Amino acid sequence: MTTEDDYLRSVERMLRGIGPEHRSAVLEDLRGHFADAEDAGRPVDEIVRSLGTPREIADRAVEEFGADAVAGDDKAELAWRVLQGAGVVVALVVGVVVAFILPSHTIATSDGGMSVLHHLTVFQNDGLWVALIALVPALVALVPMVAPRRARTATASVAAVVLTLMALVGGFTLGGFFLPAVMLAWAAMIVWVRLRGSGFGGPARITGGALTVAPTLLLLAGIGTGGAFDISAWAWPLLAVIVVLGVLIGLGIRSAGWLLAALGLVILVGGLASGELLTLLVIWLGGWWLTIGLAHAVTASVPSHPART
Amino acid sequence: MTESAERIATNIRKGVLEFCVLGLLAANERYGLELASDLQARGLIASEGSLYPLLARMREGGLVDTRTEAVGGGRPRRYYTITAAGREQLDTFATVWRAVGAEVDTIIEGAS
Repeated sequence: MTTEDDYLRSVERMLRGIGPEHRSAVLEDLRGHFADAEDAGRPVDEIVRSLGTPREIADRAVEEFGADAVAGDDKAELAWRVLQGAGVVVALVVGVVVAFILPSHTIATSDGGMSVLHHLTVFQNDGLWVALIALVPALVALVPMVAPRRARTATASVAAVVLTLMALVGGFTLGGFFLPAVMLAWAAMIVWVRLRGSGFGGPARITGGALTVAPTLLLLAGIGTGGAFDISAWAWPLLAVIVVLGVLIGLGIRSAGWLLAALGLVILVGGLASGELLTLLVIWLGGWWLTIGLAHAVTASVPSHPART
Repeated sequence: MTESAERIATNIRKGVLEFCVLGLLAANERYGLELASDLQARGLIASEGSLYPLLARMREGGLVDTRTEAVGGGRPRRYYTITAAGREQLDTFATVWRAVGAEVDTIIEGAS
């Protein structure tokens, strides 16, 4: 542990209140300052003395970014509300579809010697109370939104865990329909914690881009090895568009996130509307892209900023 | 410098520092240590470290830009350059500074 490390660590700690991108810019410059001054033959304790105390740097940073530090917190609040709110809406819509619209039960009756298959919804088959269980995930996702802000990290984590368990316990068929809401809840939680902490940098963006492209690559690999998936011809242009969006997200283009989210939503709704159990994969994919797209759009930094005079 | 002189100087420097940075960069691109040492030698900043939050804000505001160049040992060094918006800002400041400075001079001369 050198004096330089101590100094930088201390500055880093004191700059917690300002936005992560500003903090890392200041720290990078200070590292360069140390390196250049050492190359010029200045002793470390003299470098530290002429830099001033970490407190002086922090005070200056608050002067420069005071307003932005507050804006960063607002950004976390808004980003979290968008993602968690999307989770609530998706869970509600999925719940209604699963309980009242989707003919998930098939029973056979005999009609004059002919066997007739009837397709029934959960509501028709099991009654209203069982059907209402499908709406519980939406309520669970809603709880952190009405809970006090200071308890948010806790309530949001618990909600995400409970939603995950409900999707798993609900079984492969009906529980699986709630997976998009589960993904949104986790994304909301991560965004809430990270935006008020270290923020999202290049690696996170590239991961987002890679996750966007991943399902397409898996489908391609499945075809390459003679896998089970048969993709309709119309799906290829869509997958190509999504690969392009994945690349743009990796580059940090904000609007690509909104576009991907919109596409994901269309796919998700399309999957739900088709009303067949086989469309579960479509719903998962829609939820996947909706989650990544939204998360990118609400966390990407706004490119231009008017000069302050 | 007496305490009150120090206070007055601190207040004035605070308002002009940003434009002094722009002025120095208008003549030549510089890296952090160069800028900090120069400004401190001129008595425009009390401590070198306080320059960096200012530079980060000016960069975000589009007044300055950076360029990275490898120096001895392959270590990257960040050079600050002035942007077109920065030059415009500097011109505006120069006009205002001359006008305000002239008025202040007139008043001080009249008072003494």
